[in-house]
Amino acid sequence: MKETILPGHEQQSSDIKCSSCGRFVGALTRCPHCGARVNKRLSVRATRYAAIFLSVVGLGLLYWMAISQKIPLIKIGDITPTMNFAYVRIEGTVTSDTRIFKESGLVRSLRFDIHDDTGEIPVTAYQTQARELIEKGLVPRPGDHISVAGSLSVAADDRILLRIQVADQVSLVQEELERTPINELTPESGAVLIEGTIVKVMAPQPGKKQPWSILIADDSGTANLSFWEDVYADIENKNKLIQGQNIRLRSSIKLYKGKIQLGLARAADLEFLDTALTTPTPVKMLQRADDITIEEITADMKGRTIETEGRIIQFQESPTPDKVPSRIVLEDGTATVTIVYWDNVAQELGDKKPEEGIRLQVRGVVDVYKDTVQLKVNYADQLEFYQMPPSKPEAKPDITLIGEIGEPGEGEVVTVSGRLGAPKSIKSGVIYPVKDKTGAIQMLLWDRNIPGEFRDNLVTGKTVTVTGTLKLYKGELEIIPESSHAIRIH
Amino acid sequence: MSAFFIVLASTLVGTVLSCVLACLPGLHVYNIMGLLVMFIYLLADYQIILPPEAYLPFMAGMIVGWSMLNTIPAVLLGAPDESAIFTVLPGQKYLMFGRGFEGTMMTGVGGLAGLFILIFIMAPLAPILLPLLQSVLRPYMGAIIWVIITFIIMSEWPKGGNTGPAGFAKFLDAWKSLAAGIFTFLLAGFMGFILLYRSPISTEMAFQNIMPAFVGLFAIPWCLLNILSAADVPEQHIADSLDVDAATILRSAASGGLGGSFAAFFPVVTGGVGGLLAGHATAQRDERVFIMSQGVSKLIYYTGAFMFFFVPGLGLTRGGGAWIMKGLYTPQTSYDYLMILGSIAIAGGISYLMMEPLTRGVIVLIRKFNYRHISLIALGIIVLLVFLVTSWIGLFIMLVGTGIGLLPVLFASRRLNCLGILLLPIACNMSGFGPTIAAWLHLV
Repeated sequence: MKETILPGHEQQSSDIKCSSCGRFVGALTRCPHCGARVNKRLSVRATRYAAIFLSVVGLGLLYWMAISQKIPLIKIGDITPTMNFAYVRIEGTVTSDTRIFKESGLVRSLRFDIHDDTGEIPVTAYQTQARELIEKGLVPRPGDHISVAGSLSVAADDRILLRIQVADQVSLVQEELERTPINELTPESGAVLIEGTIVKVMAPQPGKKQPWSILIADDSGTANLSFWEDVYADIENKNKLIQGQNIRLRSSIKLYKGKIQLGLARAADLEFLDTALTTPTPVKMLQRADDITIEEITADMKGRTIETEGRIIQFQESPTPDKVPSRIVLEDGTATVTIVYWDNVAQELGDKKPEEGIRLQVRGVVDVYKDTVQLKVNYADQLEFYQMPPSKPEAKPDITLIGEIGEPGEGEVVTVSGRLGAPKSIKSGVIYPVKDKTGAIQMLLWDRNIPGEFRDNLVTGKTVTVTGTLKLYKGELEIIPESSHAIRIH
Repeated sequence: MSAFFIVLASTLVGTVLSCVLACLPGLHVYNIMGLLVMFIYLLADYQIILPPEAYLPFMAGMIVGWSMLNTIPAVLLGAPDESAIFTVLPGQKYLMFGRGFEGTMMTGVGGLAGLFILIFIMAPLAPILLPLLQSVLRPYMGAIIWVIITFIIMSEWPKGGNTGPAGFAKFLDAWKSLAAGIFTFLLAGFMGFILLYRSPISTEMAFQNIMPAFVGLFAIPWCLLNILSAADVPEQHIADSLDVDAATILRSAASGGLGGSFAAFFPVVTGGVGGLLAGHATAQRDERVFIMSQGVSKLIYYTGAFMFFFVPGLGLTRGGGAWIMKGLYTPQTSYDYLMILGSIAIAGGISYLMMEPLTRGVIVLIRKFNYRHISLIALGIIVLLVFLVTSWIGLFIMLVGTGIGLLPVLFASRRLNCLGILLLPIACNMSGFGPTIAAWLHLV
């Protein structure tokens, strides 16, 4: 019988054709057309067994290798974009409250921040892991030392995250913190222990998504504590949340509209002290007004009750209070506003007269008088005066003209003052050109040194005074401040 | 230079480069993109910051060019990558009948149709529909992946046991390929767990954890089988026309578009899986539709997944290209989206125009040189690439992946089973018990 050869198959090896029907079979061992077995060359058959052997033995070795290796301990500052998906261990101090996110009463996730000596990273755990952490009492508090393993997620703009995969890989050393006076709080304070007295309790407005706001005072100053409704719901002795109650609070520092604020993520971190300094006086829960900066107060807001805070820069007591109101000029760094009040308020205030230089928290109605926006106060308890801590005389640094800076010596530190140019993002930081009348220098702000909240205040065109180490990089002078304290915005 | 010219120039360079690289068997565009991203990081270390207008269109051009032209080696140089798995049989048939050129150009037409779907249908609708779809489907993603896994395993068919007397031997013959498929899926899945939870790759290169395994599972077996294969490529005919009409193109576009879109939107689902699902859903029997729809599906999968990354307000990261870019850039505005759409359209046009000369070139090449030698050179390049990025340990992972990747080819099951490396661990993770299984395996 004549062998059937398909077009183009004249030169083909017999191995890829069915010896029974002559059609193409490729790597198959049974002809798909006629069902006959097809013998293969030894090389292909050998690779089959080699493949099984290779895959099983190789996988075994890979598994052995994987479970034998230690999870690498890394520093936060060493994290690079190419480390996305890496399974690593990080050790550090918890710097934020642990936020627990719930949905329909079930824990969906939790999140906190860790800081080591090189940087900060948010850590998160989802569903099962988050619930396990809560059940095992492994929810960290600010200041705790923690060692945690998980997978890294590194996105652009240095957005990094560590995701906990197993609750057992979290080990926690709960740290007892020293008490911090309120006037020593800085954005870099991290975790703090505050002891003080409740001055004012502000409940959220009904139907609005606002936090609870508590004003706390100690012998050094006042600070605002803010927490959400879910935390309030977990507070056991809610009846103690009243003016005059002494409390101990473990908290982290947040910046809100440029002001320091205390956070409370768990009700357990708020402790009511039995030894009250003053007799607790139940006060009515004030409804929270819109808390805004002076700059945000406009004529369009006429008739609205708002709340703001600032420093008194001028006080004009009315000589005829029944005819002309008393006036306070308040400034908060963004703008100034005039506060007016009449005789009834002046009488209620009595000896508690406003003084220039002290801080004032005011709640009033926006009014427009002769085309000028002012705040009208109708009751004395809408004015809260706080004595400012005595300010230390600030040593004026010697400012060097940029044009006079020569070849920088090793670790040379200078102070320059100039106008900020447009920022340029670099890996792990940002560069701002600073220009004075004599020249320009690059101000290099590393993410690990200067927090993002502070950098938000650095606007092109503003004048800054910066102290930092000089460095010559690719022929360009750089000044590198060590912290946000080294930069003063004018 | 204005942003327009920078975008245009980088699109052109990226497209032309990827079109040439796409002709090499086994070399995946994501491997090249990984290397380029490492290079960009390196430049950043020296404070040389490339503007996004320089590298984003370049990457878009790379992906479009590669997804359009990768069919050339898939049809003309033997076995395909996993996402072109279904083109292998019809494609090989076309090759053996001297119609390799026609087969390649048909997938090119499919790719062009895919681009029209992407630019004129999906791109305008994506910002409106996808966020909605995402919010509706997000809670069920885990379940959807499990359904896909079940379908992949259950839709495997016996390759033997059709003839002969009934009995154990026939049963064994029928089950050989099925068992090999399941075994491959489980082995790949186990490997996926190891690599996702405790990869031996250095943490500095963790973003390429899976790369050596993928090379081993898909690229190396392709090259190896080409080298070991006894087949010689017959003389190829350069056709003046293609055996397709408007109806065939429309049917291919519908089938491939469905598969590609599905793969681009759902996590871990690749073009191959999308093609499998769409093929079953639309039940297309025509061989031409089969080949062309793979061109459509492949282009929509690779390019669409990358495009979705830039959809304003969506925040969807699908496909290796988007994951690689995620560490480098965060898309924010419609400016980015429009730039990428423009780059995709330009790159699509150029790469289709390059398809014919490059197909002719490869045909001339395999006429003059033994294609086993070409595969050998490609193998060398791939191994070098893996070594450069992941060092010796990466080569070892690649070797193990090769062992697993050879199983479906040698036992006549589907190579799609190798995708167990992602499907199994990710499905477990999405269902919330991935870490528990990893803990049982002592990986965490």
